[in-house]
Amino acid sequence: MMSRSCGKERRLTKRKPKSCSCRPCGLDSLPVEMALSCLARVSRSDHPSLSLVSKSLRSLTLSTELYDVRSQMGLTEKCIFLCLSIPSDPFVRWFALCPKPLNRFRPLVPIRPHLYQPSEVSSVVALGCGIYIMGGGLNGKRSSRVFYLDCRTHTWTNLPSMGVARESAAAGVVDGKIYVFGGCEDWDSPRWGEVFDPKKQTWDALPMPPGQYSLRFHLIYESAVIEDKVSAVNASARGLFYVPSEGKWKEGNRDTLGVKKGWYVIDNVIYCCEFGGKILWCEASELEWRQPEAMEWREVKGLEALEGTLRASKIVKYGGGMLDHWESINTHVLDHIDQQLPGYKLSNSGPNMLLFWDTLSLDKMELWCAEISLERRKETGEIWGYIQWSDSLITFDPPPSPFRHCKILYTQSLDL
Amino acid sequence: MSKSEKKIVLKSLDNEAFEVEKAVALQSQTIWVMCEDKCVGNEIPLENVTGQILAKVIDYCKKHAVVDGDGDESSEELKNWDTEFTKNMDQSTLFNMILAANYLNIKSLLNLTCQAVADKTKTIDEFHTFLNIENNFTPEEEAQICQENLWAFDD
Repeated sequence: MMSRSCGKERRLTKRKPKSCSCRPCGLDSLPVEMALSCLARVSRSDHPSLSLVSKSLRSLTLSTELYDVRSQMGLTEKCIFLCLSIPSDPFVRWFALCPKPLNRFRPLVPIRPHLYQPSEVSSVVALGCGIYIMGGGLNGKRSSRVFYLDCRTHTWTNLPSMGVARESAAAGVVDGKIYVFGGCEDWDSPRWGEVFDPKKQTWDALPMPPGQYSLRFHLIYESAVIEDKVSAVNASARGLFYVPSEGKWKEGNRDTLGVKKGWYVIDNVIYCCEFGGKILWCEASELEWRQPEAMEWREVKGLEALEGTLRASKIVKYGGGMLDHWESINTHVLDHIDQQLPGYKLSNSGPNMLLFWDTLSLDKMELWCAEISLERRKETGEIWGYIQWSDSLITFDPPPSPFRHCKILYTQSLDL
Repeated sequence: MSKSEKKIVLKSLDNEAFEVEKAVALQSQTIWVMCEDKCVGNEIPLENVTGQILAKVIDYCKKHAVVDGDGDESSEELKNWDTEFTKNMDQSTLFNMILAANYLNIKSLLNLTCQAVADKTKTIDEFHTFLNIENNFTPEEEAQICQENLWAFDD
């Protein structure tokens, strides 16, 4: 067996001199609630260091009590959780990011992957202190499984499965409950729409939508929660609402573009990614039905500098192993896929927009983030974006694959 | 009211006596409750606080006392004073201040000192030295946690 002194040479951190450990001192001398009060004030971005200090600190850092103290004291911080599909990695992986001290040591904190998380098109929502991942495509089949990622402790829990298997379903949180609908194989299923109560841990069926809605909303392209209504847009750009307070379905507006763009709502404005590298916006109120006009998308001004970079961030990885023989695939097909899915994703930090994209060259692949403040100009009715900062979050050197981009699957913003 | 009634004597664990204005001492909820209880006289024994720490607590309370007609201390100045106050405190003083602030129930001082601990620790080594905590991970455990955190891309 390796002796203690031998292992000591390789230690990454210093062991405190033995002479001081004879009586209780330091943080251990404080009662737990006061130690928690000190630790609660340490920024979340320092938690990885904190958890390496000692066993007792590691368990305190990972405890839910610490988060209770943080929220009681109003010390919660905006945290972003990113889900990436990285070429040649069999698992999709989540990373935690505290946007504020970005230039500091190790901005992205990796989370141990859930081995059974579907590789794409799950419905993902954030609620409370965690992220719910529902359904998705797993080995070419729809999944009904539901996983919960506790964002405080970075641990996984398996939750009760949905009544039916879904992929690309609409999902949203209203009043502490999670609503999902569509995306299932059987459009006539009595569980076409379901609601999950996290307190009771149960799934219940929603009323069936009238007429042919369930058929027409087989494939859902976008979903968003606006004014306590869960809205969705299908593949043919038609809109549908579920109003939980009334238990009713309503027809929504028509979208002008029938492509998937990754909607993101900040302050009642829907933003989306256009594959040419432009960020578009639309008033959330336009989702409501107002025939004959359709949703009007306008460009966020002032972000021309990012356009080329964002356009270049495209997803070549699509459909599992299909592109392993990348060169043999007709570029026309790739172009088509690229148009369906812009490679960059939106999120937010308070009122500011966060943009995530990747850059790929022969030497390296990088994941980038930019924070953009948004200004609404009343006189012209325009929205202008100002880049506050942009920085590389992670570098893969050499790139995992010279031809395949990193796929940013989901982004979620939480207060922790 | 005679002058002596406006004063109060605080006695530390090691029998050091401090005569202070009542308005200064009453920032401590604990002392306030003791004064309400008529059973104590003008002298209040504080069994959990040493003279060295009590002197610092009194400094803080004097600075933060609301004195009639003397309110020109701006909040910015007070903030700077607070920063200076904790800046050069060593680890054991700071922890003893936390304990004293908790025992005497002075919320703002407790907040200040807890924040100071958080501010003084930013790296793993700082955590070790400042918090005075022994690293009790085995080298193997530590390597495993580092591995999880760093997460190398191996094929």
